[in-house]
Amino acid sequence: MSAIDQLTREFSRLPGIGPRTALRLVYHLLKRPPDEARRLAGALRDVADRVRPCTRCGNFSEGELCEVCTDAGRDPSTLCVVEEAYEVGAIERTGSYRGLYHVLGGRLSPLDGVGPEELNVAPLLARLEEGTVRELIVATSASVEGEATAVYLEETARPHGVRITRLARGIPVGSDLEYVDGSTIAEALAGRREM
Amino acid sequence: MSVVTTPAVLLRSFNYSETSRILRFYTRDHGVVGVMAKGTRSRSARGGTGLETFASGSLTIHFRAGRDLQTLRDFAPARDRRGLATDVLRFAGASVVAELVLEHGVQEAGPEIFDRLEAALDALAEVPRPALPCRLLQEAWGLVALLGYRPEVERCVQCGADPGADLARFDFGAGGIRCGHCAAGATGPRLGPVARQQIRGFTARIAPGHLERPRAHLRLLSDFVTYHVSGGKPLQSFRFLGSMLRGTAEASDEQGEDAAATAEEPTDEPGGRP
Repeated sequence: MSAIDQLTREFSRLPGIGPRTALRLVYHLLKRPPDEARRLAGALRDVADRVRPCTRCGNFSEGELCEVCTDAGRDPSTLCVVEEAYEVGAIERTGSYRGLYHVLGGRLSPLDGVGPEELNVAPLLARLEEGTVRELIVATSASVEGEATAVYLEETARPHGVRITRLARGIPVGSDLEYVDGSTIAEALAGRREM
Repeated sequence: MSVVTTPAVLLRSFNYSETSRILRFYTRDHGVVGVMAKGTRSRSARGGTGLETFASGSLTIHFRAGRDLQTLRDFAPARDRRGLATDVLRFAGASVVAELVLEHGVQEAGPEIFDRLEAALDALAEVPRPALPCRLLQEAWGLVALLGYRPEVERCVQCGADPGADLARFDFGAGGIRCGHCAAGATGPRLGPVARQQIRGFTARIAPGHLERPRAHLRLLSDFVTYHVSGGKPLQSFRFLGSMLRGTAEASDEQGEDAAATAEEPTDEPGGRP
């Protein structure tokens, strides 16, 4: 297989990239100075070699512990549980959360064979056992599977005596009520607050 | 290609690329239908809202017979079934029912199966928690029978004799029980008259008065479905259900083999474990 074919095949394995887009990316790299392709190759190698799951929370990390876990300014009494490591970034970008995280590595999905044993639930319970955490924020997705996962975590974590909260759900910021589906409006009504 | 609108229940979804999803519905008019839902990972996408597992509503697709994946035009949800997610055991039970129908996978009109599936999901969402395993057995065996796999538990599959008060041996390959005289070589669980009566009731969706060994019944169901419906491959959701049932009050039937046999319930004998 030629080098061009090989790189095209590797690019087309990435999400959202089909064979034609992959080939276009390869041609683009070939048109650029060779150093640019070498930098890309180096960056890919670094990610593969250096990034691993944080041993405490499961977030992406270049060391034993991730940047969040080693940040002395974070509030260790609040723990936010997310399904995937990339969701940590989504919450971090809001700049409104100063606690720690725990990455489950997925959500309960019976038809895919994903049960509690396949998720990082045991390490979560071990963290609760340490006694530092006062509030557990369950930030699993707002799907049926995400909700079932949240309920399971709530039942499992309840004996540890921590406050357990769930992210609020409702009307997306900037959207028209007219275009929001009935289920979301019902959730928003149920979760309304005093003004 | 034609535009088709049909009542449908969403049973499974996978993310596909950055923006799209592949959905698997059971529809009243076309049975199991796979649908490519482009752009629906965004909540604001047209036709993409309300696409939640177990939701039912009106599905509109661009349909071409024989194609693996149809194209979503719109899904108008009539009811979500988020209540199934408020209890992991209900969620597990609903997943068993969904996977059972998906594994059968027939792409033809099935109004009776559709109605039974909807009723099963509603029942699992509403039944009181202690009665949940029993209700799941009713709904799942009812669907198995409706799909054409009703087990023979009244008469011996070989000689036709009624075992009466005697224990009979279940034979998965033959799809029913063998009496004591014909049971040589059969390795399925032993069933007494009470257990056989209960299974007959389940397939007719009649609740037994009291069910002492629900886990043993669920194992029998799981093994039967593995053999007859899913081509030898155990349903993933049975394994999940088994792990959720472990240690719950609703399914505490951990007795010895002998106790099981004399209690005339399905035993813990051979077969896969859910």
